[in-house]
Amino acid sequence: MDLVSLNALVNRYVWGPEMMVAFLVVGLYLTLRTGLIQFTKIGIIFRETLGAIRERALGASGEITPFQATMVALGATMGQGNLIGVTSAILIGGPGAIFWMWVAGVLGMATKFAEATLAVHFRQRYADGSVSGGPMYYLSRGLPKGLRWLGAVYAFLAALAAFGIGNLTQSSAMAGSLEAAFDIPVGLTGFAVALIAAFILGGGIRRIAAFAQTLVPLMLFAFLAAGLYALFFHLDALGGAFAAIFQNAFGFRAAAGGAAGYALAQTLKAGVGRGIFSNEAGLGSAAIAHAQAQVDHPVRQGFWGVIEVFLDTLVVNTVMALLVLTSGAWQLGQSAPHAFVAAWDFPGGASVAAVILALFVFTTLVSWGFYGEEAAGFLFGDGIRWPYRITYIVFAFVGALGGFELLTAFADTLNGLMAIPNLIGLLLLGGLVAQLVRGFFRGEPWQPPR
Amino acid sequence: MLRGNLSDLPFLDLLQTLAAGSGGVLRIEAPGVEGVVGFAGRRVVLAEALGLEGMDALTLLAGLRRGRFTFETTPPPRRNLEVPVQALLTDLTAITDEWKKLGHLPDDWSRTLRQAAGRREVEIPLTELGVFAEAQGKTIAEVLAVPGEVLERARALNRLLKRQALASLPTQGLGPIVLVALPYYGPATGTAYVDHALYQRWVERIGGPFKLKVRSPKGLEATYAVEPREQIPERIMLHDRELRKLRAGRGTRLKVMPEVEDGPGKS
Repeated sequence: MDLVSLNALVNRYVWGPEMMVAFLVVGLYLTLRTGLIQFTKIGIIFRETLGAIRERALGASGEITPFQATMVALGATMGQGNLIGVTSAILIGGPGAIFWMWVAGVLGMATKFAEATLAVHFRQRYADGSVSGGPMYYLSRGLPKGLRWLGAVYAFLAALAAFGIGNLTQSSAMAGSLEAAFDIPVGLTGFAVALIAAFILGGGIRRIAAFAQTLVPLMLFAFLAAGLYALFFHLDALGGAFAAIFQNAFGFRAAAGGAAGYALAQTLKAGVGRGIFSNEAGLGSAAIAHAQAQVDHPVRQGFWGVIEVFLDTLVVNTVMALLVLTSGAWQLGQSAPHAFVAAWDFPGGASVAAVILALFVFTTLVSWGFYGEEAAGFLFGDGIRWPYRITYIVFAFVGALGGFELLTAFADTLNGLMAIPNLIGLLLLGGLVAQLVRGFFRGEPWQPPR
Repeated sequence: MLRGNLSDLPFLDLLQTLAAGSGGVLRIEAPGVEGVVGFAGRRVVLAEALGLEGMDALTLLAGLRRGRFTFETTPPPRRNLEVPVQALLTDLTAITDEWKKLGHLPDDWSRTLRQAAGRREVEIPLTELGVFAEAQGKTIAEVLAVPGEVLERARALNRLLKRQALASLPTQGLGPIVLVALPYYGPATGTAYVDHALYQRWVERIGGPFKLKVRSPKGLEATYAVEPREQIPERIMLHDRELRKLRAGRGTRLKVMPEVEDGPGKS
């Protein structure tokens, strides 16, 4: 078996149904260990996050405000997957896939909550006040001695995967989309992306955060405004779209016998897969951003993890799904990228879709640059940061030119593999997360590990 | 506009100087005290300080040994007195002489009074007992600012301070300051938490037990026990329910001021 076939085989497993079950089991386990936190404390979660974004940073240890950290994480999380990925899920699994996407999203809230909480709890503080954190830190500092090497494994996978999921894929999608919509040469897009990314990444986490806290909310607002405007043209189909989501969730529309089973499996796989992979709960990547937040207690940042999944899956993905369903784009027999564009069914919709896609993928590219750099820094120390940044920026340029399918395929597998050490860590550290939650809701101060 | 400090130009001399002019308004800002004196021709037509008016206000202002003043030749905004400056100067000379005798009264009238530390017995005459009881936790300026009793109270305070029945503690920097609300959950204990460094600063200045008075932007007030907590600079942690009672929530900017509690402290 050659390397390409081996990669294809591993890729099938890491993005296959077995791993989906693992994601769901860990999400369910953490939901139970945290006392169904995403349901029982939902009021507090909203008050502590979206209800308090006007406030300044807590002056506690950490680099950026909790809101900025979440926007960096959300910038990475919201990408092609929320747009073309959701469209693809409907094409493969039908409208019912959205129901399972919600289910996976709700369980993913507990997973992301645990990741963000652990990231702050185990983060490394330096004498200059800066911090580093994420799965590599909570795995290497929190797990029993015999398993601490998983932290290094995670960092290795993340540092390399960033070039694929965060960079080549995004840069290529952006260049392709802008070329199709506005005839902009891919080389020009690549150059502009590399230049802007170099400026932002060169400023470290503070500049990345300043960029994310402005662009990500704007991007979200632009998407929702354009999405609601597009839905306005199909208001009459809105009820039918919701009905289709629920009616098809259990394969009711399919024929009896084997066909029904197949339809349900397809729907489940498409929906759960999209739910999991669009919000990245379980991959652990967003925890790298959450670790940077200035908070007095890790649980407070965990709340932002819940909100991140809420915005990604329950808000953005739902609006995208409604666009695809109400416009009828899913029934045109087109590929996912074309159906995505067709879903913006109003004058100028194709251009709006291209701009929104460009924004989504650019924020992903920037945030993943930081994730990769943090992971590389964990493995090789601070000296690797600038060489890593420069390589990342070069990849951002050449990615726009296309032709890196093989490299992207390997990076995609590495990205999927990141979940394995992270999910093991979340399972083993679930008790600690529960303990932190209990302490927080008893009003106890946080005691960082020694 | 004329500016200066009472430590360079005492109040009495200042009045003499200004009496030569045609009129205007003198404003005085001293620790714990703000006052205003209005002139029209060679008459004093306005005197206010700490809620006192007329001769009471002038008596209080005559006791200030330091404080900034400004004089502007604008007409007084209102009138509550009609006294020729020369007659007033005669009265104030005697009053100023009385103030000069009160050497134990600090220059800073914003200092907080409390029972002095230690277990030794101090004899307090019946005439001073009322002032002694009333002074606990108040500033010197607050104790003095009673109509008709300014000088009498100043003498009583001077004696209480001399006998070390009372101690005065600096309150500058204690507040009110603005802290941002952060909720905590669990059992409501009636306790507010502030950052460890701020708490230490208050402890050093106050030197004894204190509570925290919190005022919300909607004007609601409450007082809490206070304890230190790590890693919450510029924050005040209050129980979620207490915050709601103040019609506040996470991120609300609250005005916070320590209140000295009754009981012995260090002088």
